[in-house]
Amino acid sequence: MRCFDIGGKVGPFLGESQRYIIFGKTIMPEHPLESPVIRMPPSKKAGEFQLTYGPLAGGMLESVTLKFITPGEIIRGVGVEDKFKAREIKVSGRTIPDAILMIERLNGFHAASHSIAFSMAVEEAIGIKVPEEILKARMAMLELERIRSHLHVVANLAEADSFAVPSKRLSYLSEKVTRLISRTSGHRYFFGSIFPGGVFFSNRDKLSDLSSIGKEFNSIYGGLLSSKIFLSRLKGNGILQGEKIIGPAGRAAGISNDARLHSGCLPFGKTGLREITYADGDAYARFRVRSDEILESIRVIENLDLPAEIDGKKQQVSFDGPSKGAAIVESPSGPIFYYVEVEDGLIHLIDYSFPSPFNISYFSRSMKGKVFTDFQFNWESYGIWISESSAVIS
Amino acid sequence: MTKYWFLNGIRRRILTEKDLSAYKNPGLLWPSRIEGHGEVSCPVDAISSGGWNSEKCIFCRRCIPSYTPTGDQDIYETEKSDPVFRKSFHIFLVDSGTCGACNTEINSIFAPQYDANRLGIFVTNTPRDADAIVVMGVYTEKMQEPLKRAIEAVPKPAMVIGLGTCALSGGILGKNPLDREVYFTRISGCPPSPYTIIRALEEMRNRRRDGR
Repeated sequence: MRCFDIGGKVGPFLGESQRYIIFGKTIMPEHPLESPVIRMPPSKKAGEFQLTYGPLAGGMLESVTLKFITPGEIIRGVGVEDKFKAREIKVSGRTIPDAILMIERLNGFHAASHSIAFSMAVEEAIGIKVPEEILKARMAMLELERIRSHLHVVANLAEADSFAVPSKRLSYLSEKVTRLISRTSGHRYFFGSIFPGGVFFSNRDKLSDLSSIGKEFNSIYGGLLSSKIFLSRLKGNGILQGEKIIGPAGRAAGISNDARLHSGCLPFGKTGLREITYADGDAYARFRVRSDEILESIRVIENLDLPAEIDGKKQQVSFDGPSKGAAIVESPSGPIFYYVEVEDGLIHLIDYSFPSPFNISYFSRSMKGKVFTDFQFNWESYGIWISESSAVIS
Repeated sequence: MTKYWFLNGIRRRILTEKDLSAYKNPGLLWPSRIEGHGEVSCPVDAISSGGWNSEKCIFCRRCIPSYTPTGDQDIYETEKSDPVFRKSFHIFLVDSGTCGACNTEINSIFAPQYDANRLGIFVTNTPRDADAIVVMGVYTEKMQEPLKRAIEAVPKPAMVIGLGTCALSGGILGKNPLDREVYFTRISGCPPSPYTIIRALEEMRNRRRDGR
């Protein structure tokens, strides 16, 4: 399977971790020749001061520093210093089995998306044909990860509003999905269950809980949509509009960009997947996109006709000189792209594009003119992972 | 009815699992204690002639079938138990360089299934209010200073807990941010499951297995 014609679709360098633009319907934003993360806030004007929050601060899941420029209440600009916990991950020169262990730990919460994208790039490079049942299992894994990640974001939005009952009920559902993941893949974060050529996957009636999770989520979702207090925090908060916005943030701004449908790496088109888009581009639209995608992902998994068991036997592969491959996968926060070159069974070159640096940039842009109480809703609505944006892969 | 959240919460009744053993999450095999014998190619040298070292293991399944998981998630070690924290125990979380999984797992202990708050475990927003510091992730240069200052800010005697393989041995991605001896309690796993985390915290507070 070839996801991309590398020769025809590779674009120019775009700075750190953004070597390639993928053309076609899946949009990776063109960006100036600098990192998309806005690390430095704008310079102070008379009467303004810089408020620094982090790197170790309550309310933030990961180590990150936010630098707000403000005259007191209105935020005129915000810089996000995401490199405090930068890990250097040396993949080049590693064997493929060692490399996949590192890739899945790049962002543990989205490990399935990373390891599936990387595995598919390697499979293309070394010429492994993957059976359809493995592709279906991978699609189920991606959707389970999406459901959990979106539940996590919606729970955080409710928590930001001190909305304890829905927040805890959503955490309850998130833990239920994590246990489902554990029962199907053997690990709560898919570690060790996805690798080039195969997966460990078990579906012996274990996914039947999904329909009750969907039903319960729908009831919470309906309740949140009828809460004026909750909605007033989200509507008009962090408006982001533009033509080349990736991931759920783009779909919330009316852009059709879902790599599941446009890349062709996995046969999502056969599942009747419906792309969710909203027009407003604010935190409310991002909340709606994620919530609707939870229900849509449950429907996709239920229609997948999944195999009962895949035992995870490694396929024997042969290496015939240098070869290259690429793949793109729609992670819960946006598209993940890997390009690899393999030589003598070792990773010779790796390039990548992750959504979190872009989401940080969108957050910075959409915070201008907002007040401090808007901050947490806006931040959570992007589903940013610092582990992903700060990692440096060589 | 849905918009009356308080009533709706009551209607759902108690979701917290009473028995600590129920936390064991049937079917969770990785991470758990592994047993077996024979030579295997371990990417982090967790299996050697000296046996299996849980603090190094990333539970990657490469040792199958020579070694198999037992499902026993009591994979932690604590230097001693201190009953002074039996009633309440406040922790401050330090992310030195994680993949995000340890962060979400320690937050999972506050999900309704586990509800660590009822056991008297709370997360604080400042190390000044903390009884212990939980260190997660590998060594990263820029986090060394914040980590050192956070440990200094905890009222003495400051207890340091190492959570996850990266914090204990560096795992596959790097080196550990603190020496192994600095940790009062060492919680293995990549990432440790909520059950393992709760059991380890309960034992260091000298509380009984049934949570009392």
